Amino acid sequence: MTLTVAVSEPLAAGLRLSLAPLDYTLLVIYFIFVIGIGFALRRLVQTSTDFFLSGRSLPSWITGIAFISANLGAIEILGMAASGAQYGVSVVHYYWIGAVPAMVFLGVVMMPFYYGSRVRSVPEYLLRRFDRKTHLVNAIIFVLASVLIAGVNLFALAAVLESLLGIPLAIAIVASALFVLSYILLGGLSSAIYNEVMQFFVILLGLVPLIIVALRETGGIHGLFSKLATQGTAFTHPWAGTGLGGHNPFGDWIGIVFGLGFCLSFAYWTTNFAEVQRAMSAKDEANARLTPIIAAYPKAIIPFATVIPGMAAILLIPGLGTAGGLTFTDAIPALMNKYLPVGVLGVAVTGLLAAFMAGMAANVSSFNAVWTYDIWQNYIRPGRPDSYYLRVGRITTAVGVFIGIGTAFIAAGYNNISNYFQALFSFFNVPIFVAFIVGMFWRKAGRGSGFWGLIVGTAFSFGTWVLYKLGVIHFRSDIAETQWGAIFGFLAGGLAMAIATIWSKPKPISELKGLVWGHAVRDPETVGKKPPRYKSPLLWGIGALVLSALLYVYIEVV
Amino acid sequence: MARAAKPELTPEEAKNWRLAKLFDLRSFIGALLLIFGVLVIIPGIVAGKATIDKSAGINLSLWIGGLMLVMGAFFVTWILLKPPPPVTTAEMEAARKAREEFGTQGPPTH
Repeated sequence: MTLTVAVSEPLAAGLRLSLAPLDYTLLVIYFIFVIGIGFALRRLVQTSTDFFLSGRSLPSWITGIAFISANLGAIEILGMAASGAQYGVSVVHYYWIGAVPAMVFLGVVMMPFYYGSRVRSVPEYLLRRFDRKTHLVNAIIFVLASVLIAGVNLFALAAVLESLLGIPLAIAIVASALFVLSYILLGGLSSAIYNEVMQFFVILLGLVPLIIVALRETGGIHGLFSKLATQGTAFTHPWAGTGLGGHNPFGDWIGIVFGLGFCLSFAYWTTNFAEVQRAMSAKDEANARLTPIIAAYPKAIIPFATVIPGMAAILLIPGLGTAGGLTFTDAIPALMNKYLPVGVLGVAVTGLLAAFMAGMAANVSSFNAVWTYDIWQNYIRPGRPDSYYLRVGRITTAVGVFIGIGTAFIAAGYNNISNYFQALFSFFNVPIFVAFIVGMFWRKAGRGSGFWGLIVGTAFSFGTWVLYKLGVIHFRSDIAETQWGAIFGFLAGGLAMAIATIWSKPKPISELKGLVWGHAVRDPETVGKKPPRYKSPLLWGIGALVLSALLYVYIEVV
Repeated sequence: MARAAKPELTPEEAKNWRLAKLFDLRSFIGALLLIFGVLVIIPGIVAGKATIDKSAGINLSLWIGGLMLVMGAFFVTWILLKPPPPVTTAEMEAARKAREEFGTQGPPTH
C-alpha cells in the first residue's frame, strides 16, 4: 500500500538494460550482504518482540531511514517519475502536502499514544480504545491487504527483472520471494529494517547521478521548466488551475488540502502499520517520536529524484509516453540506460531491485506481526509462552510469502488486478483513521463507536466511487474523486461515531490510560530525562513543515 | 568516544561485544559502500572520452565512486569512535525477560 497516483502502465518490452559484468558483480555483492545480515542478526532473535519489533532497541536514525525506505519502494520511484512525466510538477503535492505534515503529526502528537500505551501494533490500539469488533475488522483488513499487496509488489519486481534483465517471469517471482523469505525468517524485522537502510543509500546513489545529468542536459530546473512551458501552465506550477472550476488534474485546492493533505495522507502515514511498526521498534519514546520526523526530511527532497527526472525524461527520451514508444513508467530506467556509465548503472539497478524487495519485505514483516499478535494470540491461541508465538511468527512469514507468490502469478495473468487491490483497500484507510483520530481526541467516544465509524465511513467512500463511475456525480479527474471520496468518508465516519456514542457507553478513564488525549502515559525510560533541545520532535517537525513550504515557493518562482 | 572494556567482562561477554560491533548496521553499510566505491571509481579513473560524453560530459563513475568511498569511511569511523556499549550477561538476561513479557502481554481486561 502506498499513497501514489495509480499507474497502470507496465514497462515497455523494448527497454532492455545493457549491463556489463561489473554491474552484475555489484548486484551479487549487494545480495550477499543482504543474506549476510540475515545470518548475523539470527542470534539476536530470541523473543517474539525481537522478531516483530526488533526488540524495541533501535536508534532513531535507523528507524527514521527505515520509515522512509519502507515507503520508497520501486513502485513509488517508477510511479512518481511516470506521474511527473505525465502530469508535471503537481505530483509534488504527494510529498509536501500529502506526506510531510502527516509524518510530523505522527511524531509530535500521535506517537506517545502508540509507544507509551505499550501496544504492539496499530490494530491493538483499536482493541484497547474500542472493542473486539473494531479490532478484528482492522486486523483482518490489514492482514488481507498486506499479503495481497506483497504479491502485487512481487509481480512488479518480477516484471522489472524480466523487462530490464531478461529473467523469465516465473523464475523471477519464485527466486525473489524465497530471497525475501529467507532473510526475514533469519533476522525478523531487524533484517527488514537493516536492509531498508542499506537500500536507501544505494538507491539514492543510483538516483543522484540521474538528477545531475538530467538537469545538466536541460539547463537546470529553470531551463527545464521553461522548455516544458508548451505543456500548459499547470505542468510547471503545482497550484495553477486548482481553483474551483479550474483544470489542474490534481483537483481543486479543497480536495488537495483536506482530501489529500489531511484525510488520505494522515490515514496512510499515521495508521498504516507497515510504517508505524518502524517507529514502534525504536529504543524509547523519544526515538520513536523522532522516527517519522527524521523521515520527513528525505521525503521532502525525494521529488527532486523522482518527479523532476520524470519531467526531464519527456525532453530527453524521444517518444516517451507516445503510442508505440516507451511508457511513462520507463522514464527512470530509460534515463539510467542512456546516461549512466558501467558501475554507476550497476549501483542504480541494484538500488531499484533492492527497493522492490524492501517493499515486499515491509508488507511481509508487518503482516506476520498483526497475524500473530492480533489474530492468533487474541482470538485463536491465547496465553501460550513467548517462544510459541515466535514460532507462529516464523510459520506465518512462510505462509504469507507463499500466498504472495500465488497472488503474483494471478496478477501476472490478469493485468489490472493490481489496481483493483489498491482501489479496494483504499476505501478502508480513511475510515480507520477516523476511528483513531476521534478515539484519541474525544475521550467520551463510546466503546462501540469505532466499529460504526469504520463501517459507515467505508460505505461513503465506496459509495462516492460507485456514483462517480456510474456518472451520477462528476469530478474533474480520478485523482480528484479519491480526494473527495476521502473527505466524504471522513465526515460520514466521524458523524457515525458521534451518533453511535449516544447509545454506546464511553469507557471508564481507568481503561483509557495512555490511549486518549490528556491521559497519556509516558514511557518510563523517558520520564525525568528531558531530551536536549536539539532532539526536540516539535522543533524538527516545524523545521520539516517550513522546508516543505519553502520548496513550494522555490518551485513556483524558479 | 571509545569506551574501555569493562574490566569485569567475562570471555563470553567480550566475544558478544566484539560480535555486536562487527554486526552493527554501520559496519555493514560502511563495508558495502567502501567495496562499491572501489569497484565504481576504477572505471572512472580509466574512463575514456566516449564514456564521459555519454554522461553529459561528467565523469560520473569518478564522482559517485568517490562519494561512496567518503560515505563508507564516515560509517566506519562512526562505529570505531562510538561502538555499541558492552552488555553483561545479567543485563542481557533481564532485557530478554522484559522483551518476552512484552511479547506475551495479554489482551486488556474488560
